[in-house]
Amino acid sequence: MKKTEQLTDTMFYIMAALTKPRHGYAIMNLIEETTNGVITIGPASMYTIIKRLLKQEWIYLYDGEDSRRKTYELTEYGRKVLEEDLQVRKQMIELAESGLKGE
Amino acid sequence: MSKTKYITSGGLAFSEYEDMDKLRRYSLKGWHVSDFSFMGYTLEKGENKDYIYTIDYRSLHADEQDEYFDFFFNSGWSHVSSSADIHLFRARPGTKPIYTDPDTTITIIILLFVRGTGTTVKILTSMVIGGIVFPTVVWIVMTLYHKIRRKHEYTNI
Repeated sequence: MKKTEQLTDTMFYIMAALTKPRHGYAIMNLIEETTNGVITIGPASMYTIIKRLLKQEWIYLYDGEDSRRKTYELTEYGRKVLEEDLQVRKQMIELAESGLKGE
Repeated sequence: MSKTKYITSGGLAFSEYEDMDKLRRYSLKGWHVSDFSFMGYTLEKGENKDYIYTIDYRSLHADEQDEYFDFFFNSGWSHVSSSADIHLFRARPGTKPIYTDPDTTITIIILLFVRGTGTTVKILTSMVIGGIVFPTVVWIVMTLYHKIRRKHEYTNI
C-alpha cells in the first residue's frame, strides 16, 4: 500500500497529535494550544477524520475502555505516512523561506 | 406539562440553512426545538435564548454514539435530538462550526446516500414532501379558490 495523496492540513495536525496516545478532546486541545487558537478543528471534521484514519490503518484504537474518551495512536505505517508528508512540507517551507529572503 | 408547538421544515435537503435560521429565530422568542416530528420540528416553550443550530448526517453504531456526542459537547455543541442518521445540535452564537475542513463535508454527503439506512431515506423523503409537495398543494388550492371567486364576481356584475 502506497500513500498517493498529500495529507490535508487537518489530517496532518491530527496525525502529529497521535504520535502519542490521545483521545479526541485532547487532540483538539493540543492543536488549539500549539497554534494559539489559530487552528481549531470542528467535532464533525474530527470524527470523520478519525474514522478515515482508522479505516486506512494509519491509526489504531489504543484504549477503548471509556466509551466517551477512546484513545488512538499512529500505527507503524501511519508514522511512515506522516514522516513522508513532513518531508514534502519541509521542502515547501524552505521554498517560501528562501524566496522571501531573496536567495 | 410544558407548552409545545409544531413547525414545518422547508425540507432539509433543500433548505438546511433556512431551517436552522428559523429554529434560531424561534429560540429568540422562547420556543426551543426539542425533537424532529413528521415534516417538521416540535418546539417547547422556555426562556428567550439566542441559540444557533446545526445538523450533521451520520450513521452511528451503538458503541460509537458516546464518543461522537462527546466530541460535539466538548466543542460547545449540545445534542438536541436525532432521527435515524440525522443529528441536531445547538450552541451559543460564536461557537466554531462543526466542519472546519471542506474536504470532510463532501464525504459525509456521499456516505449518507451510499450507506444511509432506510429510515434516513424515509425522513429525507418526508422532508422533501414538506418542502415541495405541501406548498404546491396549498398553491393550487389558493389559485383555484381565487379563480372561482373571480368567476363569481363577474357573474354578479
